[in-house]
Amino acid sequence: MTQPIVEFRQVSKSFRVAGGELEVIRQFDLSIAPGEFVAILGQSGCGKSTLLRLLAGLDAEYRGEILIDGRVASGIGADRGIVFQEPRLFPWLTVERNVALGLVNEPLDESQRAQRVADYIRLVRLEGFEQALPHQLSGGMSQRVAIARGLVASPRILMLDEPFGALDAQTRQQMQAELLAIRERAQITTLLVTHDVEEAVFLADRVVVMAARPGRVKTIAPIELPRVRDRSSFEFHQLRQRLIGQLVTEIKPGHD
Amino acid sequence: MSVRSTALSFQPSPSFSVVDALGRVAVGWIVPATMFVLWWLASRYEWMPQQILPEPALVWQAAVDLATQDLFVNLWISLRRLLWGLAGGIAAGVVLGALMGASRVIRQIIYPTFFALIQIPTLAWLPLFMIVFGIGEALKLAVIVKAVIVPVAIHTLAGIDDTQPKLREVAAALRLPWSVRLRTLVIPAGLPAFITGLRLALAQAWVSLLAVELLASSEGIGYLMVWGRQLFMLDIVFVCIIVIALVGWVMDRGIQTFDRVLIRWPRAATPELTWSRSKGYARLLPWLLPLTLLVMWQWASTRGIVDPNLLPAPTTVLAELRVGLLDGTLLNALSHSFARALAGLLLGGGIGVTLGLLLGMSRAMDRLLGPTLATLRQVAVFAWVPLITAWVGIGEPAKVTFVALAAFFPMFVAAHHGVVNRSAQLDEAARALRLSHGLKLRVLILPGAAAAIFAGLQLGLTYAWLGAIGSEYFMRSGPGIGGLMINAQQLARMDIVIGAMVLIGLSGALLRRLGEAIETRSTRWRTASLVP
Repeated sequence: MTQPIVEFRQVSKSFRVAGGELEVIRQFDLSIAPGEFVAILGQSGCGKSTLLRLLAGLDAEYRGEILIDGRVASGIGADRGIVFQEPRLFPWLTVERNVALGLVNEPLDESQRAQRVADYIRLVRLEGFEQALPHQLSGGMSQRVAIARGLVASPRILMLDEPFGALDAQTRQQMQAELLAIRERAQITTLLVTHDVEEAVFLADRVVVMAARPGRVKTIAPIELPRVRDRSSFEFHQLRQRLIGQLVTEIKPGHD
Repeated sequence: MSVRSTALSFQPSPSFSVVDALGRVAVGWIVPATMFVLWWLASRYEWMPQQILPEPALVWQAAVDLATQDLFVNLWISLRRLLWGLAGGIAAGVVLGALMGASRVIRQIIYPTFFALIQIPTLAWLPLFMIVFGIGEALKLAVIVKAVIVPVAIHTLAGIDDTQPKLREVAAALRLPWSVRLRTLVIPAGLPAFITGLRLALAQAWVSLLAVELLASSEGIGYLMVWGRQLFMLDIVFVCIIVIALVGWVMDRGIQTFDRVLIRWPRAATPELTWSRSKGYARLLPWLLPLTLLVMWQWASTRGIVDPNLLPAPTTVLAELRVGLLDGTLLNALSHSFARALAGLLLGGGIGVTLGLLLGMSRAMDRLLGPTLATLRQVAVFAWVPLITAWVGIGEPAKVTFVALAAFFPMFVAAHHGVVNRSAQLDEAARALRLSHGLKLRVLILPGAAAAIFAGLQLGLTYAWLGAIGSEYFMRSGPGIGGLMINAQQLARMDIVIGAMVLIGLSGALLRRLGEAIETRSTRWRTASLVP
C-alpha cells in the first residue's frame, strides 16, 4: 500500500464535564489511502463527529497523532474541506458569495476566482442560482452549495459530517448519487461520517463500524461491489444486514 | 429571485378585492370623521368655550399661519437637535456595545455599572442634567445622547452575541481572516438587532427631546406648544400635536423601510443577553468600575476639585438620603408617586387590555378603531401634556390621566398582539368543539394572550412609573418624587437630586422584577413540567 494520506494513530479524546472526565474516543486507529472513500458508521454519541472535528483542526486537544501525508496535522489547513450536517450557509450572502468564501485564502486574482466559483457551482449543478439567497433554496440545494464551498479550494481531503442526514429520503438518495458523480470529476479522498448503514454501503470503499462509549473501532468492512451500486441487489442487502448486525450488537442492553 | 413558488394561495377576483379594500379603508375613517363632526358641532354651538375647544377652521387657520411663520423654524430647531444627539448617541452606543461584545473582561468590568445606571430612566436624569449643563443646547444634547446610547449599546451587544456558534465554526474551518469575518459574519449577524435598537433609540430620543423642550427651552416644537398653551391658544397646540405625530410616523416608517431594504434574509429572534458568572478574582471585576468612580468622586469633591454644589460627595448624598428616608419626606413623596402610577396603570392599562382584546377578537371593531388608535399612538406621549393641563388642570386627575395615557398603548398593543397571534390550530379545534364565546374567551383567548399581556404589563409598569414622574415635572402640585426632584433642582440641591435618582432607579428595578414575577407565576403552563 502506498503511503496513506490520512492516518489516525492511537487517537483518544476526553471532554471535561462537571465532576470528571468523559472519554469519548479511545485509541482510534485508521489509515486512509489517497483517493479512497471511507465511511465511519456508528450510532449517535459514539464520537464519530468528534473524529472529524479533530481531523479538521477545529479541536486541537487530544492524545495520539493525526498524520496527513506522514506529517503531524496542525491547525486548520487548506488541504481539508468540511461539510456539516446543516448547510451552515451565511444567510445574508448569495450562493455565489457563499461559495467564494471557500477561496478567501487562495492567492488568486479576481477573474480566476470568479472562474473557479462558477466551475464549482456548475459541478454541483446550481447554474442559474448564483444570486439566490440561502433561504430561497431547498434543503438539497443548500447542501450542494455547502459541498461546493467545501470543494472550491481544491482540498485533497473532503470531510462530510452526516451531510444528508436532514434531507428527506428521496433527496438523500439523489444527493448520494450526485456525490459519487462529483467525486468522479474531482478525484478526492473522502471521509464520511454517518449513522445510515445503507448510505455507507452505497458510497464507501471501506466502512468503519464504531463501538460507542468510548468510541473505538469495532470492525472495518471493505465494500467491493462495483459502482454504481444497486440498492436492491442481493449482495447489497447481505452487506447491509451484516453491518446492521454489527451495529445492533452494539446497541443491545447490557452489552458494553 | 424567488426559487420556491409561493403563489399557491387562492386569489379572489380583482373587482371583489378592490371593493373590499376600499370598504376596509372607509371603515377606518368612520371614527375620525365622527369625531371631526362632533368637534365641529361642539364648537359651532358652543357646547364648550372656544378657548378650550377651538373650531376646526380656527385650527386650520392656525396651521396655515404657523406654517408660514414659527412652525418650520421651531421644527427645524428640534430636528437639528435630534440629529446631533442621534449622531453622538449612536456612535457612543456602538462603541460601548462593541467593546462589551468584543471582550469578556471588558464586559465584566463595564456591564454591571452600565446595567445599574440604565435603571434610572432618562426622565430622572433631567434635573441633574439641568444643574450640570444649564438649560441651553448642551442640555438637549445630553438628554438625547443618554436616551439613544442605552438601546443602541444593548442591541449592538446582543447583535454581536447573536453571531451563531455554528457559523463561527464554519468561519474557523474556512480560515477566514479577521476583516472578512467582521464583514461577512459579525456585522450582518448583528444587523437586525442593531436596527431594532436604532428604532427604539429614535422613538426614545424624540420623546425625550419633547419632554426637555416642554420643560426648559425657548425654542423648538415643544416650546411652541408651551407657548401656545400659555397664551391659551389651543389651536397652536393641536397643530403641534399633529406635526409631532407626523414626525414620529415618518421616522418609524423610515427605519422600517431601511430594515426591509437592508435585511433580506430570514432573521432569528433576538436572543437574551447571557451573563455568565465568573470564578475567582474575576468575580471582583464588576466592582472595579463603580468603586473606582466612587472613590474618584469622593476624592474630587472633598479636595474641592469640583464644585461641591455641582457634585456633592457620595457621603453627602448618602447622608441626605438617610435624612430623607428617616424623616419620611422621601418615602412620602415616593408613595404618592407610586399611588399615581398604580391608579394610572389600572385606568389606562385596563382600558388598553379591554380594547386590545375587543379589537383582536372582532374584525369589524379592528377596522373601525384600529387606524385611529394607530395614528394616535404616533403622538409622543408628552405632546399631550399641554392639552391635559388645559382641559383637566394640574391636579391629581390630570396627573392620573397622563399616566393612564402613558400606560394605555403598551397594554393595548400587547393584548391586541396576543389575541391576533393566537394559535390557528387551537382556534379551529375550538370551533370544531363548538365552544361558546364565553368559554372560548376563558379557555383559549385569554390564556393564549396572557404571555403577551404580561409582557405588556412589564412595559406598562415602566411607562406608568415614568409617566408619574413626568406628570410631576409638568404639573407641579402636591407631593411626589418627581416634583421633589424638580424643586431640588431649582434650589440646586444636587444631593437631593442624586438621592432621588437612586431611589427612582431602585423602584423602577423593583417594579420590573415584580412584573416578571407576576408573568412567570401567571403563565406557569409554559414552563411547568407534568411531574410536580
